[in-house]
Amino acid sequence: MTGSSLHSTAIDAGTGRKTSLLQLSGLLGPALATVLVLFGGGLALGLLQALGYLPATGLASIGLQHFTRVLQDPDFSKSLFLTLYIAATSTLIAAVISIFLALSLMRWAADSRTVHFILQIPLTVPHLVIAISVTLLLAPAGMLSRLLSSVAIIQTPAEFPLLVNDGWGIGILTVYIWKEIPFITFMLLSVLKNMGTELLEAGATLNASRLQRFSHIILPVIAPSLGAACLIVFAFTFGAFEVPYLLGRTYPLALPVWAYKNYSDIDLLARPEGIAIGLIIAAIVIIAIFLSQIVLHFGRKRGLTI
Amino acid sequence: MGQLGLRNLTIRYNSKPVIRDLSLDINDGEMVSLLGPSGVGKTTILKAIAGLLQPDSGSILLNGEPVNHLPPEQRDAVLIFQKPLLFPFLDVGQNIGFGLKMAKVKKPVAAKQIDKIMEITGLGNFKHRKIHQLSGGQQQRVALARGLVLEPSVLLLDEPLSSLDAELRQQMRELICTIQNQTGTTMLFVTHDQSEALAISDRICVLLDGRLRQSGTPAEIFYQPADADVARFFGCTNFISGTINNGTFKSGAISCATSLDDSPETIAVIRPEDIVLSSSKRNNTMSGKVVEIQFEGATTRVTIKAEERTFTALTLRPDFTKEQPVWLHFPPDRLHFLPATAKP
Repeated sequence: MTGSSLHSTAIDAGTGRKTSLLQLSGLLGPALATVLVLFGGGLALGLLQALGYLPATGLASIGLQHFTRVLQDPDFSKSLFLTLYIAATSTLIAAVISIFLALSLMRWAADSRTVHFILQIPLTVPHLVIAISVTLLLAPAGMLSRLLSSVAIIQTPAEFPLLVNDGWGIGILTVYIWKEIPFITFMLLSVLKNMGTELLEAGATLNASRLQRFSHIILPVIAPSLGAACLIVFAFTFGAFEVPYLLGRTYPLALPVWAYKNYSDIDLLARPEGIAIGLIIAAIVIIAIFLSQIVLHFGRKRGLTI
Repeated sequence: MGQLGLRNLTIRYNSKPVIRDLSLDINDGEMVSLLGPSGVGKTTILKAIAGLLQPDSGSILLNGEPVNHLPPEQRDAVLIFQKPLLFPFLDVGQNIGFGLKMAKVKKPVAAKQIDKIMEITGLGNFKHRKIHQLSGGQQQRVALARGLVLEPSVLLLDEPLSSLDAELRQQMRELICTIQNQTGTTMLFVTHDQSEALAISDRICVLLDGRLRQSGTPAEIFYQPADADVARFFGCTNFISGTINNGTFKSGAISCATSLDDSPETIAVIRPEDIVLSSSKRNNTMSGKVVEIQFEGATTRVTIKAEERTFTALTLRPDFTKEQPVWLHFPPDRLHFLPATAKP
């Protein structure tokens, strides 16, 4: 293949075969076009509607008034805080548990497929299923309250503490933590497997106590992957709708629930605000994902295998 | 001070003994090589001394004190691994200072110690380099400096040169010797490379089949192997069985005076480079035919069949041909007699 535009080539690492950019574009084109049209088109259409361009409802002037209205709404800060609280708390708790889980599984996981299989189970279960399970388990009339009441630990199910649709979002946090732990643990196990035990043995002979080995060797090694994994799950939980919708309180609403309610409101004029909230969520999620890539890049630059 | 003592050390792996009843003493400032083939348990011994694994029985003494009960970080012994195992998230200076930081040495004191050891190990200009910017040899030097900076009683080196190319190996070997002379650090150097052990050691301990078979100076080990296995391990495959009568060893045409007691069955060994090949008969010669020739550059390895036995000789002459008749001369002063219990 010749021609000025075809001089740039990519080399397949496996076969060593050279592929011209034109060939690459041809191969990836259909998939890229689908993504661009569906995702990019949806985003552009959403942006137009959020900016007030909704001809079907008689709104045709483009401006930032819907964003301004959302941002100035006193409920926005409450919803934003609640969403940040849910995403940050569940991520933090899951991260801490995952670190200890990964460390305790480190020796087994290198050889054991069973450990990997067990960790994969929660990854494959949809959030919705977990949310319903948590409702059935932790609701005031749920299995746990009835069980405690039947063994006389509590007198009536009504005495059972409110763990679903509660002010602290315990039900929501439970679902997210349950779902996030395997994901973060997988990421950490992969890094720990690459690290092996030799680095820790080297640390031990260099005077490092068990705690110092954790803080001065393990943490720096896993930090980029842990950071990236946390940012990814933070982004997901920040933008996820179904769990806070099912297990959250009616006020304040998590941002995705608020966006959904506005979008699906019978009043079509509320739709631009719903989309504006959705775009704000998308912006925060994209920033989080972008940050996760920076963290990974930083880790690779420090010579860590990620 | 850096004395190491191993007393009746036995280490099992999957209930199979890897190291059996090993006893060894290393004196202060001594450079001792633990030499043996791969998989014989050399690394296991080092890990046990460093506290990374527990021996099944026996005791480990550092400066006369038993340390079996101490965790690795409380033992005054540093292990330098086969791989450099540097911390990739730290630069060279931070890697070298890692142990000092863990020991909570004050920063100005640590900085001085780091600079000093970097100077000794020739790493002066690399203090702020990232680990991945270093070559294999430089990384191993950093690992060495990281251990030395702690001034341990005993520095344990687990084949630290095995991953380096021949030239770097030689350089590092010289560096280790120089550092050992300068610092007087007691070192236990594990290797499977005979020439490496011979070149750098004050004393060599030969480990075969999980047992310490011989301990001695490089010359003793090389020229006076304790048994046939040690002789073979050092490339000596020429065993001559004979008898000793009235202070004379006899085996066919070979005859040589010895101070050993009379014995109906004695084994003498001679190194390949000590057999003299000639075209004429002399005293202590045996006639034979060349069966194989291997040109090895500086020397030629010649395999000769003589009196139904096979001998290997190393000669500087490359001009031998197969089936060529030769005379093998065995200089009496080059024959070494194995103890009666050490048959091949």
